[in-house]
Amino acid sequence: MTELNALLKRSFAEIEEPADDGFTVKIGHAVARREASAVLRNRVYAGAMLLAGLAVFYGVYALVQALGPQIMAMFGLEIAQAYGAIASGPSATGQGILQSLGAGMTQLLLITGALAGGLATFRAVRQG
Amino acid sequence: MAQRGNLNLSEAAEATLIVAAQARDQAAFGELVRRRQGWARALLRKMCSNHAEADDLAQEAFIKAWDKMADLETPAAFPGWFRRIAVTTFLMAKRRQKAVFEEIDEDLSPIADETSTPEAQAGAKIDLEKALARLSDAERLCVTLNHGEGLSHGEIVEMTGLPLGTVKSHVLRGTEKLRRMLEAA
Repeated sequence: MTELNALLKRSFAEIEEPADDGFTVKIGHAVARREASAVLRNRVYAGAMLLAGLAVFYGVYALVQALGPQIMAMFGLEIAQAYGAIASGPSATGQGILQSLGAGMTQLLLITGALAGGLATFRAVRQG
Repeated sequence: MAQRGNLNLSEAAEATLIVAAQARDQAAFGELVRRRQGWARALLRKMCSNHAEADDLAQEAFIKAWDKMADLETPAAFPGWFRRIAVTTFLMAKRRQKAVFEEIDEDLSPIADETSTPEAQAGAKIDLEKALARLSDAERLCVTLNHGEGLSHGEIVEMTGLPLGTVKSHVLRGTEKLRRMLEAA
């Protein structure tokens, strides 16, 4: 088998490489065409992106022009209301809600503490 | 004489050409193709049963190489890297042609006695290209990579994605077929 392998290796090495019969030129042309089409594709892509950006800008600009004053007015009103609420303090109703929340929170914390304590005791009993 | 800036292409080292080609220098890549086309086409001619198909695949492989030049980590790895591209191109072409690589021809005649004609083998010279053309696509590929390119079975598995047992069988059976052709010659 070794002799056969040696013969095969020698025979493979003896296979002649083909001469360059225009092959390199053909590859050169193919590569050049490929690069030219890639450049064209990149330019088309850049142009399309520019057009899309302009379209978006124009759309946003038109929208702002039409609704801008209204939006600004609404925004100003919200700010004024928020400022008024902070400056004048909570109303009677608001105070009632806050008191209820505070009382509820105390109950909630007590229940949570009891549950956590119970869970810790339960685990300690099971592990012990 | 091809010259590009300070780079004299026809006298430049292959590593220099590869680095320049990675920077998208078409002239450097052209010079690289000129130097490597014989080797690449011969490799694919061993794998294919006809020269025209091999040259088409070689062209396809070089264009793929141009597209993927940035993936080549070191210039020294170019031959192995390109061989992998060539083999992948060959396999893809065969898959397009619906060639089956996994199946092994079980109808072969029994393997001949290994000691039958060692003298004849040692001194003989075979028309390997003609003999290779008579093997199946899969056998030709595996025998070429194993005996022609000196790759191990594991390296062929890694390159082709075929199972190890299939590669071993194709190499063994392809080699045996070549031996029988040699004995008959």
